[in-house]
Amino acid sequence: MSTMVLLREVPVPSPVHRLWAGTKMVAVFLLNLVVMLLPSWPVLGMVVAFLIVIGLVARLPLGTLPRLPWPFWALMFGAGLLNIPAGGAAVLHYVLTIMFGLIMVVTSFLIAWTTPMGEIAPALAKLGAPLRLLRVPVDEWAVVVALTLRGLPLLLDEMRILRAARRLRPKDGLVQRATDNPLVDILTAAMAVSTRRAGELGEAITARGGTGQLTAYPSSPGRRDAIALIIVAAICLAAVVVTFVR
Amino acid sequence: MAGVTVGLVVVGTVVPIAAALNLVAAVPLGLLAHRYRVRTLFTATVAAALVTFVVAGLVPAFATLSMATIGGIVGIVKRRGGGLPAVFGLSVLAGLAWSATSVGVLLVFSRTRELLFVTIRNTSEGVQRIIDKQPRLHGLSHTIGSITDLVLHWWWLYVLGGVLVGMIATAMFSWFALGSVLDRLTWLPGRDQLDAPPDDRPVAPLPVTLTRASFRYPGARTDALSEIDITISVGEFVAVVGHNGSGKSTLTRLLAGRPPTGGAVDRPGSAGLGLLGGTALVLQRPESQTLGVQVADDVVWGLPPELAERVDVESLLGEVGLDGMGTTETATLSGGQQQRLAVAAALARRPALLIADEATSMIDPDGRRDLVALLTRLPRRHPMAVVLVTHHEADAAAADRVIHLSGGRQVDRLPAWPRPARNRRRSRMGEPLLELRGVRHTYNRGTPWAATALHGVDLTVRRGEALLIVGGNGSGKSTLAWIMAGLIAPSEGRCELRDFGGARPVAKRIGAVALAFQHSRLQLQRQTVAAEIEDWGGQGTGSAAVGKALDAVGLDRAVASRSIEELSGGQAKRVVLAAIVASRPQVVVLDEPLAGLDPQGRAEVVELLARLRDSGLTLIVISHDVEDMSAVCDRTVHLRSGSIPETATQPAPAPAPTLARLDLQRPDATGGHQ
Repeated sequence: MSTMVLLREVPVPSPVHRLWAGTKMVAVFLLNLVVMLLPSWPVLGMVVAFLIVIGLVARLPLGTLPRLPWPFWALMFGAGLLNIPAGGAAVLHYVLTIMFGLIMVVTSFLIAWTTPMGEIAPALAKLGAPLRLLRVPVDEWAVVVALTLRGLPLLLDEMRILRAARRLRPKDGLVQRATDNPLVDILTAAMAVSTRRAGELGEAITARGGTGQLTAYPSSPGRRDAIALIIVAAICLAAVVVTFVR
Repeated sequence: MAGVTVGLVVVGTVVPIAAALNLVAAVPLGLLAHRYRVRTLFTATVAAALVTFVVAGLVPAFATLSMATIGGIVGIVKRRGGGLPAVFGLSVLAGLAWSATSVGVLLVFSRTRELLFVTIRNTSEGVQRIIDKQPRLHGLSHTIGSITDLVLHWWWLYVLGGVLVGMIATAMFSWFALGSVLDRLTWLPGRDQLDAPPDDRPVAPLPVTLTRASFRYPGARTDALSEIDITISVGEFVAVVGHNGSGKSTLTRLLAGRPPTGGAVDRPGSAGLGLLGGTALVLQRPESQTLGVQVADDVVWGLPPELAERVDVESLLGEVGLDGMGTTETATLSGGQQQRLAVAAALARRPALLIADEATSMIDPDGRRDLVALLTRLPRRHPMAVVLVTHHEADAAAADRVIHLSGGRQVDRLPAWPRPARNRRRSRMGEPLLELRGVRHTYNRGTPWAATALHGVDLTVRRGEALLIVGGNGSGKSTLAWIMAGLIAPSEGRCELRDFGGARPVAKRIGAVALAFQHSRLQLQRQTVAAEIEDWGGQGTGSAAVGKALDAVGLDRAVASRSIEELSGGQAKRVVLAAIVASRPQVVVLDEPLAGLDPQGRAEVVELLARLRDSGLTLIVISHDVEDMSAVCDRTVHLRSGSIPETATQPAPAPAPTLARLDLQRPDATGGHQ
């Protein structure tokens, strides 16, 4: 059975791990934007090179990469084969599209791999600070994001148990399977469990006298973050230059 | 405040996962919109989108937003009592808005659009060329080509229509799904039982005196607590002992600041729940009261920032025996450690009164001992009082004073429940049935998160045998249970079930070995008890079989029509057992069947297991309750850090040195709800 590891930091010390969480989120946002605006060979190549460098600097082992089930690769390969009769250029173009998709996914995974989840919400609150002037409830959002990130692993666990409990039941005939709706059953059970869980969390929050501080070691951007952002901005700029100045 | 947060969390946690199944993603938000205000929905939506961005990136975050629109529409229409036409109309509007947005986004990101379109065109051309090799299919290839051209030429129209149809379909599905979800949830308590009316006196919870205090919940017909007289002053360690339903949790709530409905609770100031110098609570379930992601975060979670700065996290962690674990993730702690962490978080508020409400009931004996010892020390080291609420008489041994509760009243002592007597077996054991040879298991193999849970387990279970596997937190017991039920195929070794057809791996025959999880509620997925048992029994299980199964576990047949959510924890456990009886398995694996039960409930479950064993069922009990369970079991083996020394055919290898952090990872995250 393959279990996806979601939202777990890779526990190694590295300069990337020491960056402020907000920096990484801004960087990922910028990179995503650039890739979506200018998906061409030079730009994607640059971003891939950058991601590889980041991976090396962050000392992420190769095993970190999620292993997708083989049907996914088979499907991808199959669709690639279909492009062969259309010519070499078509195949190259297909590879570019696939790369585009993979880059979009891997960039966002980088945040989770190099950041303790506890730092995300305070960083978001800090990034959203200007919105406070517009009376946007930034702090409330941060609290909910923090609780969501905390609750996610618990929920995943419970989902696994729900699914396992389902698998342990006898398989019925086709007729019966058609008449009842397992999706709704599971959904209802999941909602009931999370409602209970949320009730307990609510009591725990009340017991602590409401919400407030989210982290014990508040971090804020420093010189390192400025350098990182300058590098990312430089790459974005380079992407624009490469595309428009020929 | 807490009520709102409750709702927020429900959705916040559910959506990022559900977003993968776009069809159902709208339902959780619909529930939220149905129950709470629009602002709650809005906050939850923002949070869900942000979390989705962190998990999966920009595009899924947008999908989350659009699903939230649908969820909001469905939930609000349902609350206002509107019907399907209203949902349809509004979802058409929302669909139009979102499809226009999608077209807009594709216009802005024109190069990405071109990239995708060229790929589609190329693939279509490739398919055409392949088809063209068969001259007879020439017409088909021409059709494919023209369809592709048509779609790509009028792409905005197709995107518009596609998104619109998708949104409407989602809305329709959510409407019906939300209906059935709401039906089931009517029984769930929605209120925060700790929420007390504001009290603006200065915080001073001690000394507190209850004079003939009674409490009746809104809508209840009898008092949960009546005529209680107690006084608690600084420096005391008081234990409150009572069984399930004796009113001890209600007493906790009175002490924490809820006003009584009869009699009086006098204290010099307000209770100040969670405030500096006020009242602090440690609750029952370890994992749901841990709010921080890292240990140190949890200690200061919820404090006002200026106060949080002054908290000496390290020394607090040292006091509860978690020194140097400040940066450990809370999810990797054992139940006992999480409870001690909760004590540290309580101490960060320098409370005058600390109440531990059944804080010991879900953790293993070692954890319990440590926690009680810690609580006993506190009144001597700080100017405070500690109240320990429990159903274990043994926990109360160190207390200065013990208050017994029964049926909502104070009593001198509790009726003693006889320990389950050693029950001799009547039927003979048969041939070997389940065999484990050299079973090893490593989670997330080959990734940086690899964690080995089992180091070579050898075990043979005979037909009709009752086997007790004793293991503490982190011994790999839940992993072993999952492997024996066939839910996980072990990374090495084999786990086989023998029957007429020879020995076959259990993983190929899921269902032959039944598994009762520690957390029974997750196993109950149908609307009513009867439907649940019928579902387990498979085809042809009628009401007679349901009745029989309920008889077998000593439940009243009238329970059959009750809703699953109405059941108490003990009842849920029995319903799972009844369902297992109905499914006629060969072997039953039970994971911590006694967790969270009071002495009466324990005695009943033990007796029930003895009956099941005598009926010829093979039982494998995994538990840390050696004393109670060994009464029914023929054999006891110990599971220690992933191996069973008693039955090992080869000496267990020394565990490979790994990073300290990885060692702490709880390998049985699968079913361990200690």
